[in-house]
Amino acid sequence: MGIVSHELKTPVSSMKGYVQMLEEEFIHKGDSEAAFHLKKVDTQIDKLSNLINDLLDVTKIESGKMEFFLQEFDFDELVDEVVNSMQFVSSRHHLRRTGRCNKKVQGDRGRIEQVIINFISNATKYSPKATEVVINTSYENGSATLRVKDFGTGISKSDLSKVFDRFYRASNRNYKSGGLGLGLYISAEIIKRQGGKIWAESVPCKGSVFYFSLNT
Amino acid sequence: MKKNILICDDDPDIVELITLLFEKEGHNVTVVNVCEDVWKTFNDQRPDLILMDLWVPEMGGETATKKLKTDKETKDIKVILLSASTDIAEAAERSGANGYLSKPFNIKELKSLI
Repeated sequence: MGIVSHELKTPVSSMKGYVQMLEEEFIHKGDSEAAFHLKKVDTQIDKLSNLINDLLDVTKIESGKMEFFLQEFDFDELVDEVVNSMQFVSSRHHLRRTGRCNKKVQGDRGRIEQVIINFISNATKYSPKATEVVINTSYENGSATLRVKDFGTGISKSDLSKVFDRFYRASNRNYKSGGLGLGLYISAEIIKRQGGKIWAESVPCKGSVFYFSLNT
Repeated sequence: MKKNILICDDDPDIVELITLLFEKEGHNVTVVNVCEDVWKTFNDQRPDLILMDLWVPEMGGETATKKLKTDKETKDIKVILLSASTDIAEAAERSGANGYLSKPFNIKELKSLI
């Protein structure tokens, strides 16, 4: 598994490095159009890299080899970090942070961060006309809960029960928005394998709310 | 200010890319393809930064970094682990490396190491 990861990512690393180097050169020479095109290539390389990561995660899940490195960490602090870094690259949506959990949780911080990123990315991707996504944390019934609410296309009742399935893509979700339909499946496995719960609520044409909770 | 950078990696494409990047910035770059050769370069010049691939032969980047970080002569040299492997963060912590960069990396992150 590690070898496959290494072999797939090494040429991607090389491509990314050279593209970024060329982009810097064109910026330096004042050719903003060429730099802009190379930035697009760089973005596509990131997408390819994310797809490789998703496929490798699925392989790890299927073979029972996904490992978790448990540590105690501040749940609000992690959510704040992710929101701040994603706000930096999200020009259309305001990521509104509400609530506090004020608890520490025991889990794999990096993997839980991956789930939070997945929730917020989906919320912005599937609400192209909205301008806000709400990210809330709370402490309920002994669990730290994250809630990500969007005001987008929503998901039908029949699709909602399957959104955490592998390779599933809701029928009203445009293929042009990209992805393999693996993100929520991986997120669900990450949360469930750490003893947590993951679920969603949605109203078509109004928006969706995705939740996960972890024991504190 | 010109720095001495040692790259320990057996992937020619990555080595060529990193060498080009740092030489363009005016730094001095030395390359070794096996961990055991890291110590041989110390006779010529002491590196300011070592970029150590995790899966480099023979002993591997994690063991080599641990060895560097537990020797009082070399413990102060900045060592950054590089890898496409998903467990690089844990390897960096176990070995005592000063940090890590996941491949594919951003060249701004790489340059910021100096």
